Amino acid sequence: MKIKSIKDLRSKLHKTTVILFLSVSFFVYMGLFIVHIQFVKRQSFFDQQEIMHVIKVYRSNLAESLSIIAGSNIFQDYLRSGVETRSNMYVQFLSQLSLLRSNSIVGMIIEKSDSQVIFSYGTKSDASIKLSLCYINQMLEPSMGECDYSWILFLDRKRLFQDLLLLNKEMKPCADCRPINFINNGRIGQFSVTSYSPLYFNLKIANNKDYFFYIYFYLMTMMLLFFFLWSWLKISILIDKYISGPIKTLAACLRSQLTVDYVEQIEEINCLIDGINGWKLKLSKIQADAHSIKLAEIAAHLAHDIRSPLMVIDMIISNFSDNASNDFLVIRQASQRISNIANEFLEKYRCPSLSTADEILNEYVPGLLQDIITEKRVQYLDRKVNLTLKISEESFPVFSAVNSSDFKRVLSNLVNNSVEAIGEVGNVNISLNRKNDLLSIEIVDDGCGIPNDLLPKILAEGCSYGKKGGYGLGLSHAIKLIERWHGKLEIKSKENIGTTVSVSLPVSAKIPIWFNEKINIRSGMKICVIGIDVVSQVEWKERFSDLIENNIIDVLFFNSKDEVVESSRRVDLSNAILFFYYDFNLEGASGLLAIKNIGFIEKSVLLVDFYNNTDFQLACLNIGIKLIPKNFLQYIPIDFN
Amino acid sequence: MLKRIICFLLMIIPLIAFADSPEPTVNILTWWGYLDYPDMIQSAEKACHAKISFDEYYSNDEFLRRWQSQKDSYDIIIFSDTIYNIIKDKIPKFDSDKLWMNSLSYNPIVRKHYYRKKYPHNVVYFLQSLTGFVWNPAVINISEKDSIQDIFKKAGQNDVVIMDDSLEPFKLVESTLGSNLKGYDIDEFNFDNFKKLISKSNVYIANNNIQVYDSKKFAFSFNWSGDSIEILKKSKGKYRFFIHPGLSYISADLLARTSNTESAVCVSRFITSKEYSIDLQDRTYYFSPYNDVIPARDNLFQSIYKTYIRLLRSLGWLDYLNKNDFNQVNKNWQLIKISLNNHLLNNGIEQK
Repeated sequence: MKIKSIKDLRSKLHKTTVILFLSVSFFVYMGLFIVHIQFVKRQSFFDQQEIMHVIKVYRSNLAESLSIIAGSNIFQDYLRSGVETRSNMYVQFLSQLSLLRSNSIVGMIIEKSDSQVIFSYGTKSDASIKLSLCYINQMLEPSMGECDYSWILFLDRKRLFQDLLLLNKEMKPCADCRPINFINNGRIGQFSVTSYSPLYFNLKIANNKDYFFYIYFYLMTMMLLFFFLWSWLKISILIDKYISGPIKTLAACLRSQLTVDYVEQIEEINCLIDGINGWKLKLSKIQADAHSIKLAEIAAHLAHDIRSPLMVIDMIISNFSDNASNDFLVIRQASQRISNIANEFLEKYRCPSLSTADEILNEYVPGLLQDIITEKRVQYLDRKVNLTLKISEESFPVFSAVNSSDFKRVLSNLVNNSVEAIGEVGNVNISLNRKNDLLSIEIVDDGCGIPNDLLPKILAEGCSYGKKGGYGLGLSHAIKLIERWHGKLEIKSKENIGTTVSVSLPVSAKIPIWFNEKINIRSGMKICVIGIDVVSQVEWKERFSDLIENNIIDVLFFNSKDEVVESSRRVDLSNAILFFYYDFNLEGASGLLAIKNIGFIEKSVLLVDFYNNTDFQLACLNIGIKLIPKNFLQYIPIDFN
Repeated sequence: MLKRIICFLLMIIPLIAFADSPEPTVNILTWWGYLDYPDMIQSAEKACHAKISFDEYYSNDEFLRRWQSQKDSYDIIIFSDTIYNIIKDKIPKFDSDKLWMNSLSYNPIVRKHYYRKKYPHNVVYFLQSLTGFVWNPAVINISEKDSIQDIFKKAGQNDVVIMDDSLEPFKLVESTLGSNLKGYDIDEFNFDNFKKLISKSNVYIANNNIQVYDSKKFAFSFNWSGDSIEILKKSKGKYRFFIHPGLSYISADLLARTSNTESAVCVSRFITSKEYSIDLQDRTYYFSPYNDVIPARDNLFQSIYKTYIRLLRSLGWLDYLNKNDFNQVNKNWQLIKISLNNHLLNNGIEQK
């Protein structure tokens, strides 16, 4: 039989159980039958022995009576007497014979060895025993005695049979029983049996029927049936529980493409489940990779196609650089991001292994946040959404090991989600705080919120909520990226109240050398700010207002390097800090070159928008000047000594 | 004529009387085997016009028991002369009986012995005997030099038969103790001494012709000569007979007529007659007391008879004990027989 299914296996096992049951039953019953046969044989043997015993007892009793009589003086005198004396002794002799209390002896003859009859009494019958009377002097002695007389006893079979039954009432006549000879050897007591008529009796012991055999048979049958049923059920239960059930469930899961996420008791099946899950994951990844490759191709084409118009935009923006305003700056940043994104896509597509898109660097988080918020404010100008960014003072010098592009993308998506959750009017408050070695970015919106039951699904891949055309990939992807940076993303939401997304990341302990993390102020110090407009001058004054009002420091503004040089001739700048705005074009020279030419390198700090430009950072390091992100004057700590 | 008629009547009346009246029965108590010859009995019955009924016994004890219980019913008794003293008072004396005249024809030595005992006229010798040893050369070798103890020792653990008669074993025990019959101490005739005598041999006590003689372990028997010759003849030359000069004795069986009926008188005379005695001697191998009655039929018996005649003068006769002594010896013998049976059982040798 070929086993093609669990059902076949169950059927096979049950058939095996039946065969086993039948085999065991066969041997058990055979054994029982053999035992029974042996028992019956032994019982028959014992019955035969019992019958023999009864006959022996009867014969022994008879022999004892005969011996008493034959050993008596009267009997022996009678034997050895002549006619006259025997006649005189007759009554006495009969009296002696009366001791022979046996109903079965109906007659007797005593004769001499020459067949001369000495005594005859009663009737003759067809059953007779001729006993030899042997004496040593006056003692019966069948072996060595002189046997001059014979005693012939005539027996009545029926009476003898009745006498035997009296000795054992369980004995019954039996037509088909083995005949037992009344005289089985040549002697009865002290008498040799010289001849006898066959005296066979067909007897049996009427035992109770051997009910024990039937009881044993019944019990054995019940026991075998019990074990058979028990085995049958046990096999079914075991198959269902440990083989059939798990395999069926496994098969059902595979058919319905559900994840096999349960644990079985059988180690091998668990191994199978793990294997299936593993292969399933690999398959998913392969599919996802294929999808990603396809997307990457599209993105690469897109990036390639985008770069040309971007170059046009950059060119136009650079033509307007003299009149740089915030709008142009935003446009330039956005353009730069688009360009970076496009480049990353292209790198990923062309040479995934050499791609720096996934490179993790020590990035200035407040700067990244500000870039995002600036971009989003522009993006959502048409929406009545209030986007705010709050950076705590202690968060100013916060760096974290992230990939800047991914970080921006993640934050951009999160802000997008919040904005989209709001609808037409609302607030999205982004805050950056530091607590010990962790920075915390919270994006709080007062949008529609997320139902509690949907929250886990949203976090899972492939789900989105309240977002038209959303694929649900953003949040889970963000989580993966944040986790890659050893951070954590949490979402707390209440329906119709709002959602708070918290991103926590480890703060990098190492602050880059190029970064100016605080301003050290001494009394009488001059703060020279070179290259800012009037509006920005107000901002500076407000930042140092307390120190200025108390005449502790003096803030001087210069429009060009020449003014600084000229002023240095008039004013002692040895106790000054010079803050240069890099964006300011100092007579065609680069800001760095201008600072170098002035000669206050060690006292100079550069405020730039492109602080995160690696080449620029290296250049600053080379001349020993530090940088401050341009828009973070309000956050930089002032250390007044 | 009247005389003739009277004479005829006188002659015919007894005949008529005999014809009408049943034959009288002569009841005899005798040793076994003496009268068990129907032809001889018939001749006696014919001669005496009487029926003979005889009861046999196998030992003196049995004789005494039966005699004492039924002595009035016996007309003739045949018994050992060793117990004569025991019963002589109960034997009626018929002085007119001419039965004693048989002794006139006895062997002179026997006759002398008969006269010395002064038996009543109605008591005569019936047959005589001699004790001796039947021995099996395959098991034992007996010679004149052997004492009775030596003979028993030679027998080892083999079978030995001793006659069931108190006096002969008594003589053997006395011989063992070195006493003579007259100076004996009856108390010494006990089981311990008898045990010393028989040593380790397997002893059977019997007078009749038991089957021990067929056994390969049969060593010897101490028997009367008649029984011995029977055994020798049955052994077909296997066994030997030996008359030990120091241990063999002559004994005689007496016949006493105890009834004074004509039939008893007739039968007693008939069966003690020389002719009957010679015939009986040839059949029973017991010696007839008469002179010049050499057995003619059997060479073995003839040989033994000649030995008997030769030793008749030198061998001793078993002397008669008085009644008390006899009773004591007999009692001791009975005790020995009982103890012997127990002794055998105790030694794991069951008397068969």
